Amino acid sequence: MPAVTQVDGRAQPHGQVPALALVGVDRMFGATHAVRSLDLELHAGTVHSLVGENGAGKSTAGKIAAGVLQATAGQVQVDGQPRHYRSARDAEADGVVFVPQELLLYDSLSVEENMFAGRRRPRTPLATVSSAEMHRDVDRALARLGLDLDRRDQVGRLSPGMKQMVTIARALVSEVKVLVLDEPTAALDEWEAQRLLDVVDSLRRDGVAILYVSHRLHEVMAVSDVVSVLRDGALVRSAPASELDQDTLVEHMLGREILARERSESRATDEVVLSVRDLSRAGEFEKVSLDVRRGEVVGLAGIVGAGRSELAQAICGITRPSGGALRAGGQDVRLTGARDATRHGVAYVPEERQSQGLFMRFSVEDNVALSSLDRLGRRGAVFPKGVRALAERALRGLDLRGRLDDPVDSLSGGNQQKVLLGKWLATEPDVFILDEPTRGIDVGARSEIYAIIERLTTDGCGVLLISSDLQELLLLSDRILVMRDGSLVAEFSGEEMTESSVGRAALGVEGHDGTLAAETDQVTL
Amino acid sequence: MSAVAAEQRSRTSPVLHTRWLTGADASGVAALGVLLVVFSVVAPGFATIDNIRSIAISMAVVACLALGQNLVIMTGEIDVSVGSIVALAGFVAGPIGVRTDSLLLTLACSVGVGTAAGFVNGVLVAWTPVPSIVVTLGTLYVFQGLALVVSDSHNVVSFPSGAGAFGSGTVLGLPHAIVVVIAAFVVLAVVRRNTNWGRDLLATGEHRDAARTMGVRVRFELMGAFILSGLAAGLGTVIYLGAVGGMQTSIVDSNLVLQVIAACAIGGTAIEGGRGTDLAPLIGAAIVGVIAAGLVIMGVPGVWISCAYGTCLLIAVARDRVRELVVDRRRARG
Repeated sequence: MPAVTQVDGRAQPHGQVPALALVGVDRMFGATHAVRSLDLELHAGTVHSLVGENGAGKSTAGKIAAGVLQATAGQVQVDGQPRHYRSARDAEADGVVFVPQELLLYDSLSVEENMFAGRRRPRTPLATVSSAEMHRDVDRALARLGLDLDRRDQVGRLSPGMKQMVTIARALVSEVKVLVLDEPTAALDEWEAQRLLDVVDSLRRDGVAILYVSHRLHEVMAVSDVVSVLRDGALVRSAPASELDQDTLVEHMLGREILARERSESRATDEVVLSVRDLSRAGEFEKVSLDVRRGEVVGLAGIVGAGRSELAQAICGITRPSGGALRAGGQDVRLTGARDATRHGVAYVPEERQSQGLFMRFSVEDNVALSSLDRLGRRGAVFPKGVRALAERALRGLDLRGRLDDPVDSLSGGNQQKVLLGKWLATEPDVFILDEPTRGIDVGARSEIYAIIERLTTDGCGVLLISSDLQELLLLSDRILVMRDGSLVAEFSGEEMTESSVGRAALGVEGHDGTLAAETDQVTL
Repeated sequence: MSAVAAEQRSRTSPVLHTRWLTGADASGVAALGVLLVVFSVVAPGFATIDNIRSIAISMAVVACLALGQNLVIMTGEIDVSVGSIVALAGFVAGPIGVRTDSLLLTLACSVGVGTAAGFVNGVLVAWTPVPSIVVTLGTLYVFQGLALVVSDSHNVVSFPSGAGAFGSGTVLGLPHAIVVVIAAFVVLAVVRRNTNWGRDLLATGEHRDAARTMGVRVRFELMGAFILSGLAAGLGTVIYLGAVGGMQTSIVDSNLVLQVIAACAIGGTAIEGGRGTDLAPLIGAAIVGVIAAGLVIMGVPGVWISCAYGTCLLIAVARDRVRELVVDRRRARG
């Protein structure tokens, strides 16, 4: 553990008016409660970290603090005064600046234009934009971060780390009092991340109040004065960093809910149906090897950005791998897309159900039939009767609540997921790659999806299950592989497969007794 | 800090600091140069002053409209109604020009109508979720209908030279039409580079989510772009009335808007938004004009000219993609 957690000289100043405070903030997205009555105080010269699992509401809270999103209820206060920001632009006028992920930059514009987009540019006496002053402000901000960058460089050509630095430099162009960093190291390698943390530390010393949203716990522990943990949108613990350690944080993040479902017997056989060897895709993941056997559920754990979905898409050829080999259906293959994958018995059920998996306005029947038209047609012609029969066969046993003629967008999330599964069942695959199959689905439908996954294995399919829900993975998987920063870092099965072992490997936290570190070495070698 | 800023401010001159000719314009300018050389060689009579002047006048209307359209395209939107705006403005301002022979009055009416039409487009695009291509397709027909109603099926004929001064006559050997277009270009380029609104245009088109997150006033950007597109169409109308000497009701069936969009694309502004230069519409209009005139002088039948336009457009778009591919590959290699 890094030795920076002592609080001498930077203990939280009590009795002082916080630079920024959230008071009873609520935020709804449709029917989803993203943030629940959240109270948070940021003090000048301190780093306050906000941690939580994916979807815990930490980014939403950060965005509300900086005016990017508006609270459904509750208040944002700056220096004790209530503020009603309608946009990031409003908040910036108070010196409250949001630093987005590097993805929110304009790739085809210059560093300078990126740093000024959306904000008030310096004026000349004739009320025109003063380029000279812009140049000077930009150069000063870049110099303050010690960045060796030309303001004319096109942002799209920079590395992720440099881009993230640009987002911070952007915040420093004007006088900044409160800085909200949203997962600033998500796309950075270790060296770049360290550099960013140094910058955060120097800003703290300059008296800036910093809200640091992240799920990288070792960074959080290294840089924070105070850490708050969110779970399901609510604050579960807020304490000085010195009173916390990574294990406690993981515990708070995951919570202790237990799903009322028994683990079923493994149906794994020895026959390998999908074999991936040294698969790489530049910038996304490197040299990943794994096997999926008939009847086996292989869980793939990792935090967002670890490269799991990217791996799945490259396996199916939706994106092109830059190296490695693949065996499916007993032969060496190079899949070239979803259609080709289907032909070789690989079905990929994507994460973004609505945008990647289903045609929302088409009927259930049409959705199911679409990926099977090849096997359905006779010499290119497709008959309605055949389509209906196929859809009925595919959805049998899925207990779909809805008619075959209903448009998919009239169904609930759980039923949509069943249609998606049915669609791929119709192609009679050997391997299912399921990417977050239960995200955004209520508990009832969730256990039905679990039952379907079990049925798949009974039928002899192999399943590669990507999920950010650890309990789900532990419940369903025969083995769990852990990905971090684009590599497989650990594998667990049987007794070793526990919430804490998998969670720690995913977050990159070393175990107390060093066992995990040893395993990690073994796997990566 | 503020003293330093004030001192800096006083030292900053308001002249343009960005280069007028950017790297992105280079390929368009080069293509234009090559075309000029080629036609001068293969088409005798092409490189005469008179011919070049007539090309310029014929392209001035397209160039003027393209200057406005370019701003809309930079935001990632499109305005297909500009042809109808010209018709509407022409049939409102035309008869007034004929009656009064006053340039000022004609200009005020035409630009007023154009700006109002652009305002309507802007409101609909910025405040409804309907895509701009559909919104402006709708207003295309509305404006066209209004134009025909206002015209009462009468063409505007024998437009007087006073009110039509923007389209005819020369100053120091330069056609007025060209002077007007260049003036419009300078004004719009200054607005684009030297105002907050103008600087945020490309950001609006490059990454809409990022623009919203980082406080770009997206609606304000869109409104401005569509209003200026309408305004430019109003100005183009005045050039048109003078150059053509009137306006026929058949103008509603012309493909003016296609030439306008093509000019922007050929000049190098990315049709999906977010990338573009201020000079692109002028370069594009010039290329289209030169090709048309060159082919005519070479005796190529008129029906082939459409094919030439189309090919030109495809090459322009391909050029963009090829450049991206090259850059990507270079980056992938490290």
